[in-house]
Amino acid sequence: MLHIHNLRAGIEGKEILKGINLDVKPGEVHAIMGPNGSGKSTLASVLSGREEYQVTEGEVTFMGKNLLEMEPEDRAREGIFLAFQYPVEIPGVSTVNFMKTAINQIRTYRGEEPLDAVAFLKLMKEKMKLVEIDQSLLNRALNEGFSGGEKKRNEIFQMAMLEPRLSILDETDSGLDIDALRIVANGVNKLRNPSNATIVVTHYQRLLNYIVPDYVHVLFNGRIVKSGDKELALELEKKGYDWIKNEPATA
Amino acid sequence: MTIATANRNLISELESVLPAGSKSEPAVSKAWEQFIQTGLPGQKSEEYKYAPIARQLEKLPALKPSAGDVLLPTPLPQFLSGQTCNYIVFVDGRFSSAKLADKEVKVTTRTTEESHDAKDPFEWLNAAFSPSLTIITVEEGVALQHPIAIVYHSSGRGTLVNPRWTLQLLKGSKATVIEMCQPHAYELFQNKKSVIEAGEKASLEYLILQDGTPAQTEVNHTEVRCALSSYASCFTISLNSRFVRNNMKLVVDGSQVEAHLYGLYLPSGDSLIDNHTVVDHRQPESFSNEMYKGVMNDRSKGVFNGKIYVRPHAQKTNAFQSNRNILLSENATVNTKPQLEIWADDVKCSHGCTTGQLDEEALFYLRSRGIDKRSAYAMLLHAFVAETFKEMKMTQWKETIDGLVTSRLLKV
Ligand SMILES: Nc1ncnc2c1ncn2[C@@H]1O[C@H](COP(=O)(O)OP(=O)(O)O)[C@@H](O)[C@H]1O
Ligand SMILES: [Mg+2]
Repeated sequence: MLHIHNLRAGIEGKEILKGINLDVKPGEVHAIMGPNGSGKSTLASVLSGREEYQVTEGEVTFMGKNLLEMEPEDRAREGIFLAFQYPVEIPGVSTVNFMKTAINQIRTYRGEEPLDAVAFLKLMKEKMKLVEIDQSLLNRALNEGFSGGEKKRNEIFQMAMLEPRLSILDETDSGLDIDALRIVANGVNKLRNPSNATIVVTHYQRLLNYIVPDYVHVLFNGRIVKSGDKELALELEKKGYDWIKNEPATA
Repeated sequence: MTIATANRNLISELESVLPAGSKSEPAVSKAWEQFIQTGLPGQKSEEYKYAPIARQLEKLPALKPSAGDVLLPTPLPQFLSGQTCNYIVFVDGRFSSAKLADKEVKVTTRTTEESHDAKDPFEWLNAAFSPSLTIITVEEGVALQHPIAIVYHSSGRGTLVNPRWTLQLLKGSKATVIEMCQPHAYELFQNKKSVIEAGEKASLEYLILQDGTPAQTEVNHTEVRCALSSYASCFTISLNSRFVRNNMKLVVDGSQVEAHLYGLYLPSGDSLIDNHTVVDHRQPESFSNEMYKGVMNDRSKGVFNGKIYVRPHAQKTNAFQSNRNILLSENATVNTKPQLEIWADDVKCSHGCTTGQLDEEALFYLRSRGIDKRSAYAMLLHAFVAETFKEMKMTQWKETIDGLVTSRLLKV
């Protein structure tokens, strides 16, 4: 599904990703862990098409297509979803109001009929239940005055609405209390199926108790320095990141 | 003010087209003398610093009012189609006809009287060319069932139009008013003067819609006077004209007044939209709130100047002002200046102005959800501007304006 080969990217001439290799297949959950500043958000940004980042080398294909050539909106339409680490506030635009546009543009891209108001509402009600989010929140200006937990839940709500093939959750667990964490993880788990995949970016093992990964990768200083199964996350939890920093990079 | 020294002598050009014999009317000759004394605002004019009106007028064909009989209007603007209104129609700046739906509305005309407090040369110019004043009155205690629509038509016969009217909302009355031009493509200069007097406990919703006159140059003097316990909510929506200068003056002449001034300007191409507003608190314990927003595209110019006066007597005034701008192009400009003059000491006043670009983070966020760049842009701009007409109670107009604005923003 997603194939990343020797990806190097940076910003303003500063190299941040220094040769990333990663393969994600349908049905898989990959966790990317690593200390602050190691490049996790940068990887998520490059995959979703944030324009400030320059890719200097390597390739990324998604469903066989060259992802790096696509506009951010086309990546979303192809099925990539990024749950932002820091969701922006957008005064005057409510979640309901832009979700309708988003869903219908995606449907049109895929050659499907746009949803009418009734069908949209029905879909929304169904997905609201999944992430236990209140409609009043969705009618408010996006993220304006939302608590940390509300922002993250709103991200997962949008993910539920858009039914992406590949979801990238960037530190979705940060700032969540245990109840919110359970709700968010529950939502993600319910959306899992054999044809979609998830990349969970986190620097705590905690979330991985709820969203159980098939693979765990450690990103450090722009490289994946270690990969393993979920046991690796537990090991990191126990030992911290220091022992990893001395490992040689795994190609 | 200095008289503009130009290739064209606009003053003598104007003098030569003053309606024959009208200078023998004392009000006209007084107005004309005053106009000559002040002259057209030139390059050194502080008030017209960013709106070079004399230079603009020189670009127009010879200025002359429409002569002969007042024409009857062509069909009404599409904006109002299917709506029953109290229509008051001006053709080429002169009162043409009234088609009234409510019996509580009266329209009369009388000779223009000398106005003593005019400061701006264009007010004098208007008086000199408008010997007749149209007075619209809404009866005491009546909430009008239908809106009042003041519509300006142009026949193409005149290049100088000077509509002049006064609307009196008598004690306890309530009215919704729209003022607009029938769309046209004539190159002309509209120099309007209007006054709305909201009497005690009167209530006014007032929309000035400036759209559909791409070749028009305008200077508009609009005054709204609020008496004791009255309510006024004014919307100036400027979508499309070549050169617009709005002098909007709100006089708070009573206590317990609630007044809102909203403004939206979306200049594009080479156009200029200049809003000069004055909120004059003359009595204590009133509230005013002003919010103007602009989105400038291409090489266009926006200007906002907001004066708030709180007179010594006007204690416990609450007066708020904000002006926010978005520049969409490197060649677009905006000049914004709040001017607060507060002589009373027990007041709450605030003002703020910002100028910036569209929020790139927000744009990326929407695109990352599958929304194309153009729609995302329009969505953010719409959210920015919609605040200026959100409070409009006339929902039909609000929705139409929303549509006009949305289609404009999709083109940027
Ligand atoms: N917009 C930016 N401008 C400059 N440096 C940046 C920018 N974004 C990220 N960086 C730098 O890139 C490195 C990786 O950051 P990031 O990808 O956010 O790490 P992580 O998500 O793993 O904490 C850090 O050193 C950070 O300071
Ligand atoms: Mg990060």
